[in-house]
Amino acid sequence: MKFLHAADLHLDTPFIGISDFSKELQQQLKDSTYQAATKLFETAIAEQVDFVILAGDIFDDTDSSLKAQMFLRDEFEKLNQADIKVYLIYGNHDYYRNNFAVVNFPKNVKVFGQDVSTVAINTKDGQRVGLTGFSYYQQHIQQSIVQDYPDRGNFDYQIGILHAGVGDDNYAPFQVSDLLKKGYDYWALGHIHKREILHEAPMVVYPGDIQGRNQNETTPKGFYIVSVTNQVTQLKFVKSSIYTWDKASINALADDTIDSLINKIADMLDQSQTLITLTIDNAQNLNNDVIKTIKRDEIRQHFVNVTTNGILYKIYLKFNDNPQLAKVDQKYWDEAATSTLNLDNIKDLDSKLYASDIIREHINEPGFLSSIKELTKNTINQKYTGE
Amino acid sequence: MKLVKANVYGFGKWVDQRFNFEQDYQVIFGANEAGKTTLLNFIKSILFGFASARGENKYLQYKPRNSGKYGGELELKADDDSLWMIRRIEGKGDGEVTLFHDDQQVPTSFLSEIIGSFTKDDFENTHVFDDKAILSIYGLDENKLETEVMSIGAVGSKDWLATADNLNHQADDIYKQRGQKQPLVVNLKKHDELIEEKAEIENQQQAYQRVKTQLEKTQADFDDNEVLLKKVSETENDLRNLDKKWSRYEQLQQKNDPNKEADQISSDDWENVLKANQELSTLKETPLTNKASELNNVEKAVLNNYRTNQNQLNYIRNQKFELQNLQFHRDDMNSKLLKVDTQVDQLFKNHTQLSEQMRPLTTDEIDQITPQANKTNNLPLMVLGVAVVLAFVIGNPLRLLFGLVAIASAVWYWYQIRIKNNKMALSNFPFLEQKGYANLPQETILSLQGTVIALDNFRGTQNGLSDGIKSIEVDLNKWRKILIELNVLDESYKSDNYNEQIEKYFARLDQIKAKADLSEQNAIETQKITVGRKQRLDNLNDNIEQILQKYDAINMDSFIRMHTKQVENQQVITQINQDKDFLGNDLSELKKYASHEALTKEFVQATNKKSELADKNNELSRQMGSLKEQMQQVFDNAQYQHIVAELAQNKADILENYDEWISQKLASNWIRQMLNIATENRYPKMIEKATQYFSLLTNNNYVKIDFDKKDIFVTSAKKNRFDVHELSKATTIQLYLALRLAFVTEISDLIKLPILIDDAFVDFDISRTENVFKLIQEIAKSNQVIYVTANQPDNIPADHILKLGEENIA
Repeated sequence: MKFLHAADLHLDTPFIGISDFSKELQQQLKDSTYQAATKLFETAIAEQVDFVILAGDIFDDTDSSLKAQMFLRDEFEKLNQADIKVYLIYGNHDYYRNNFAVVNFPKNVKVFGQDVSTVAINTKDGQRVGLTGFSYYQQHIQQSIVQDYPDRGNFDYQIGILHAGVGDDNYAPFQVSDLLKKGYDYWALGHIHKREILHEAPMVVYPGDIQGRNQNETTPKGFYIVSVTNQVTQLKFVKSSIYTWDKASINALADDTIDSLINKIADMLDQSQTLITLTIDNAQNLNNDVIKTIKRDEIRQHFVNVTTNGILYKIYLKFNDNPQLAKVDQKYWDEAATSTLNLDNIKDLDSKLYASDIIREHINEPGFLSSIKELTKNTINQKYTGE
Repeated sequence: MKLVKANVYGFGKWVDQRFNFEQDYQVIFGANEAGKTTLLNFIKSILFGFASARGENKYLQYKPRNSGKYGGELELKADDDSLWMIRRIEGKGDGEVTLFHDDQQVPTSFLSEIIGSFTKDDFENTHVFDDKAILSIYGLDENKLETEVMSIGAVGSKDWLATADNLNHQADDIYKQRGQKQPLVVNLKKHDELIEEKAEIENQQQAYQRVKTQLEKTQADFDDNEVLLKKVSETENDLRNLDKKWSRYEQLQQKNDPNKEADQISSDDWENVLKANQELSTLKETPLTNKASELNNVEKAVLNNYRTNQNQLNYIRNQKFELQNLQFHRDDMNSKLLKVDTQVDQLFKNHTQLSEQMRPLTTDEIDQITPQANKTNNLPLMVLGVAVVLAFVIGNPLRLLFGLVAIASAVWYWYQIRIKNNKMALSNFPFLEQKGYANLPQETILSLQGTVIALDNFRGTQNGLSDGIKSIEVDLNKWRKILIELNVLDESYKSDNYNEQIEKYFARLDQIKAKADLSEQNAIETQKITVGRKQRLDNLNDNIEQILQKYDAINMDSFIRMHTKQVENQQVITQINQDKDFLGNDLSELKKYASHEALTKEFVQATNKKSELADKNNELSRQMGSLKEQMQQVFDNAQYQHIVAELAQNKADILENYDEWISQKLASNWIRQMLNIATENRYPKMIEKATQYFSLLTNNNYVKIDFDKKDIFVTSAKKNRFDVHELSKATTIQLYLALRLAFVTEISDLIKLPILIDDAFVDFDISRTENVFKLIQEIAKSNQVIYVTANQPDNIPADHILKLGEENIA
């Protein structure tokens, strides 16, 4: 038995910070989610899998998914011709709403409903496989739906399909142990864009998204071909991403000039189809004019106009600790940090800003505080150097 | 650090002047212009540097006008009783400083041991109280006070404060709560707009479904309509066809089918009759005889005349040549006569004296008039006469010879006469006049004699010829009469060329005779033809009659009318058949309509119906086009995609702005908080102390100092809250003093510099003045106060008073 497990296709994702790029590159980036999906379906046919699992967030936006729906219908039809079934759930991004699905998918496609349900399939090698799952019918699900999943049924192999985050209160929170209790053979997860195997035997797998969509979604992206022989499950990762996001850094030296930095950066852009987010470390070493030039985005503009294998997406300046700071007793800094750099204080800083959904969600993101702390330190470091 | 001595080298009005100061408080009293403020400025200048020569401060340089020396020394006593001496003289920048500690010169950097991190401005802001400083209370706020406090509390704290301020300002450039232009504000606004814009766009799936349903319905309507339209179009075409044929139909209706049973004249019969009739009329029109060969009456008359006078005419014919001879003879004589006439004319022409009357003279007569009687030789005359006669009688060429002889003899004779005449008178001779020589000279008469003789001869010849001619004319006239009688000549004929006329007559006669013979022959032929034609005519008439009888035709005309009628009928039948062929199956359709109006009405109705349906068809087609376009638009979704992309970018921009803003804001706050901690929370302590001082200065009238964003507020004992601007001048000064003195005392563990007061209490009433001095004395225990005033202070120990202008300076 063989199946394909993918999630978070996010077809039609808008890309940000690309407006400077050539029209061609912009278009290729916009198309990349489709390209990756095409690769996925081609692989399914080439590998002659029994079925394909798509674990939620297939569309990036349910208000406008006609193109994606038609694309999927065509791709699903190809799978249908190849006698490959599709098991699909909707996630928080493409949660089901009235009038959402106007395109009828072919018969080989099973879309799970709002309530947890189980379907069975007999594979080509005679295995009876059960698949259990549900679709989002609202954007946020606070309760743990996993408890509604039935215990293992009378199947040779049972798969749980779930779009959720570990302990993520907004998205059907669960713990790995909850899953293990069900006694399934494979948990096909979706929602987290970072590829991750939470547990082996039984397998609990996030395949990640199939194409990185922003600077934080680094590394090649793809999906898993899962082979089961003699009850042994084996995973094979297949890369589908057309563009890979990557992070890189260079160390700034006091005698660095714009030209020398450009040379250093050019050396880093050796991988084709790669979008590099670059950090210039020890920026405090740099000459003030150089810093200003970088802040005016001139280096990045330079690379927009120059042909390189990789693409320079963005440059961050990292100002490291400055000896000047040491003059003030660290305990004062630390003491002040606890009263200044805390979430309540940040939330109270400006009520109007906190009223903005975008900013509120941002503040409430895990990791916000530590990243802001870093940014604040960077700001102080830079400021002190700059003066 | 307490100021104990001041040694002025030269500063404003002070030159080489020394002052000693009490260590806690010192009142310096002097009249206006005594140099009190100059002294305070001297202290400031030595501690912090001379004022620069530029800008407003140049008036604070106090360079002495009556001395070359500038600057001086200050001696200060530290808490450990060690002595510091600062010397500042003219030099680069704010002056050249020399520093001594317990008489040991030390590096100038040690100056910070005395003044800390203070600048002159700091010192003036915190330790100097004058009119100008007091006014600055209106610009004081919590932040400034706090900053002032913190700026003294930690190492490099001023830089940190500046950084914090700077960061705060930078943060304000990104976002301000009430801002309009800052990027984060703009982006947040844009976000709202984009969300609104997005909300206005219909959900793609719904829109698609809606348009699809509409399109399907419209398509169905269109199809139905199409079927109707097709049907009506066909009907319309049929009706149009009928309408076009109506006129033929109507024509057909009006035609009566002619009776086919009527006698049909066979085409053979018709043709035979026609042919016969044609021949008949041709025959009738052909003339029976050849009239050309007939003799006319004139010819007949000529012939009859001939026949009657045949013998005479034949005789004339034979005498033709006789007649001709006669005529020739006469003509010959006529020509001779003409010649003589010419010669006579010639004579007259050659001899002008010659006249018609002249007659030849006889020989006697000549002798009479000739002087040499008889001597005149008459031989020439005779010769002449003979020659002339011979010349006329004898034919050529001898005639010419005789002519010449005649002339020669005439000349000869003339010559003789002439000679004679010259010698005689002529009037004596009457014969001369008789014979026509009157008035002529003798010679001329003689000479003319030859000529007169010639003339005379000519006359004779002329007469002979005329007589001959006359007799011939008589003969000819006889002939003429005969010819006229015999009709050979016409009376009108005037000429006498009878021979020719006779010939002409006979030529014509012969012609007529021939013609008469021919005519006779023709008459015989014609007789034969006439008989044949008569038979043919009878035949033809019989044939025609037969055929006409067959068709009961009375005569040819009626037969022709019958045939014409028959042809017309045939045409009608042909037309009817053509009409029927043309109308074909439509005939039965056309018969359904009572009138053309009925047909037209139905046709117009059909046309209207069709155009109505066609319009609807177009409209539906247009709607479908529009819907398809809408569908494509819904599918392409460019606007939505654009907004979604914009929103995503906008969100990223907002978060980037926010992160930058919050990190700057937090950095600023973090720094301030750090400084606050590092400065041991001096600020709240200072405010507490200021409140206490203010209460003291105002006799417990005010019990609280607090702040809002911009201003200082005070609360009275009666719980009334006043803005600093609402306070009286004296109270304002008291508040300022309270705050400043609290500040100085709060930081006195870090910075101990004398407080300089420049006559700040002039507006105070007695009780308040007392309170101030109480406070000063209290503060002076820990911080030296130097107070200059123009008013004599009461209740101050004399050793604490320094009077300027009096000679009690040390």
